[in-house]
Amino acid sequence: MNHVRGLREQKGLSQTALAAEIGVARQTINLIENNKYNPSLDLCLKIAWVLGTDLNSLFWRGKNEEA
Amino acid sequence: MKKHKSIRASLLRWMFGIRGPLDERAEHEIGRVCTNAYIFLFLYFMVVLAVSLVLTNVLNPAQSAYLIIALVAWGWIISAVVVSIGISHSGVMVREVSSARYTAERRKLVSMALLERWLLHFSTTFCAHCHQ
Repeated sequence: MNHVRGLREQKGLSQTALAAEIGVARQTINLIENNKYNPSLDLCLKIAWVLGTDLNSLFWRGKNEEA
Repeated sequence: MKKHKSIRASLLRWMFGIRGPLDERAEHEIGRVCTNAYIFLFLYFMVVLAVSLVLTNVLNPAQSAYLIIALVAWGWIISAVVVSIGISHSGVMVREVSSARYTAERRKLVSMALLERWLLHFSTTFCAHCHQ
């Protein structure tokens, strides 16, 4: 689970703009937002840095989710 | 090191037809598809080796050599098809264009396809002439 979409929209960034800032494809951002791709720690840190937040506020794992 | 990385990225982009940036997801998808193809090739060649052992006892050397080469070639062709289908299904080949640029990009792609088709036709005709 993640807050990427909410924080991105708060910042007024489009998926394309965020992708360009981080250096990935727009589809990758879309898949991350829809929980269909697990990004690497490096990519998570980049997203958190661009969105001006930390990893704890951006990503979390629910109690019933598989490890 | 950076140059080595860029050459590798360019080669990957060229070989797998990746249009956007070569990000970690694209590399992950390429890795997944190629691992599947590698497992297929490994198992296929085990079977081909077993078959070739039988063939060498049943057929004459020229026939068995031809069949073994044909089986190896088929293995490569099938794995190339597996990789192509896997990569195209993974979506890393998708090219996104804005609606304003759509017509121009489409025209460009059609021109490129026609040029490639003509080059293929020309090269095969030329090769056929050379062999006569």
